[in-house]
Amino acid sequence: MNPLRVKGVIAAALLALALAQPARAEQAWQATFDETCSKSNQAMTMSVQELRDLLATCDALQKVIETQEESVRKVYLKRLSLCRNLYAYMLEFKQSNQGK
Amino acid sequence: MLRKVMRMLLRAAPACALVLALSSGGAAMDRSELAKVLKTIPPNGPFAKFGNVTMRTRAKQAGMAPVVFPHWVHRARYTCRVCHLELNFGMKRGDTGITRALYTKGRFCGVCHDGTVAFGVQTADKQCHRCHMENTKELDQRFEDFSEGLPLASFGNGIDWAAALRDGSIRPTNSINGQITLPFPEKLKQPLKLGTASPRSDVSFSHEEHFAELDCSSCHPDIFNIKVKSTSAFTMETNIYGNFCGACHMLVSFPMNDCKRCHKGMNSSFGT
Repeated sequence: MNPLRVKGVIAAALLALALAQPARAEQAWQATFDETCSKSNQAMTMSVQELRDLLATCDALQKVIETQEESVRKVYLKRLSLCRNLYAYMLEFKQSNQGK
Repeated sequence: MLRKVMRMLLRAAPACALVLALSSGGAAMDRSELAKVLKTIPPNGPFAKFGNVTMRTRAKQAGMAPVVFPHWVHRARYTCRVCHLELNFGMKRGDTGITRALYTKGRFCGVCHDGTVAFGVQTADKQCHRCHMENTKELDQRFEDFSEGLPLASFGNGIDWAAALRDGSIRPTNSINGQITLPFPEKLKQPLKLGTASPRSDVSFSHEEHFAELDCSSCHPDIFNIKVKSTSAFTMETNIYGNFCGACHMLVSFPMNDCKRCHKGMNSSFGT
């Protein structure tokens, strides 16, 4: 599936949940966050596609976290940027190696 | 008492050795340059206070004594990743925006400080003084009892935490839900040898010891961006001022006075 479309679908689902049922939505995005950011130790062995999917999820999560209250927003955006940056770096590294 | 004497000797020995090393010559790094760098390292201070974080602003606004957070109590029970990754405590004081409303609702400190896992933070628990302290006398005494029997180090808390973890003196869990298995990348098992201006001061870096406490994204790519030659600004000075290793080593992890912990071939450590 097109990564942009994946990103859109995830963001839309998380946002819809956040607006409809705040309590459940909070658990949903936090579970997605934990799941996404817990894979940093596997980043070295991931395929380009897997890394792209993770980045798409990170971008979708960012949109949801930006709608949260200040403290949550502050701490989770920082953590999200740490793991997103690692995946982005690994993707860049793998793509430049593929070209060689 | 014996331990206190041993600690005093341990703290004095590196300084004496450094004086000897500097006066006996043979240093590969330019001596004045080395002296300049060493001068910028702040003194270690008392073992009991190393890594304690004092939070005044919000407490003062509420008319309370400041909160003193001792890392040493917590790191014996949990690895860094539990609080800094799972509970989302920031790495800088005041960064997280912890409020009473949040921890009494079971966020941040309130995750464990619920009256069951650890003393409670609700008004009814009447334990405010355990964090809001006029002075740290009692806490410092607790540290003396706590540190008894743990592997010695010359700096920081005077405890070699990595050795304590290796020999089982402490058994911190790596997740709030108990111990979890985190596969460690095979490629990183061999310690990294990082060259310096002099072979004697080469650095041995263990990914494995760091991974036991944190995860890859804690350092990469924000603190160390991994790219070849990307660390051209990596010097002792930039580290001492809180960059690279200095993001943790100085404040909570062992300070850079403890030269030999990284520069295994060096003669001495600096300052007390």
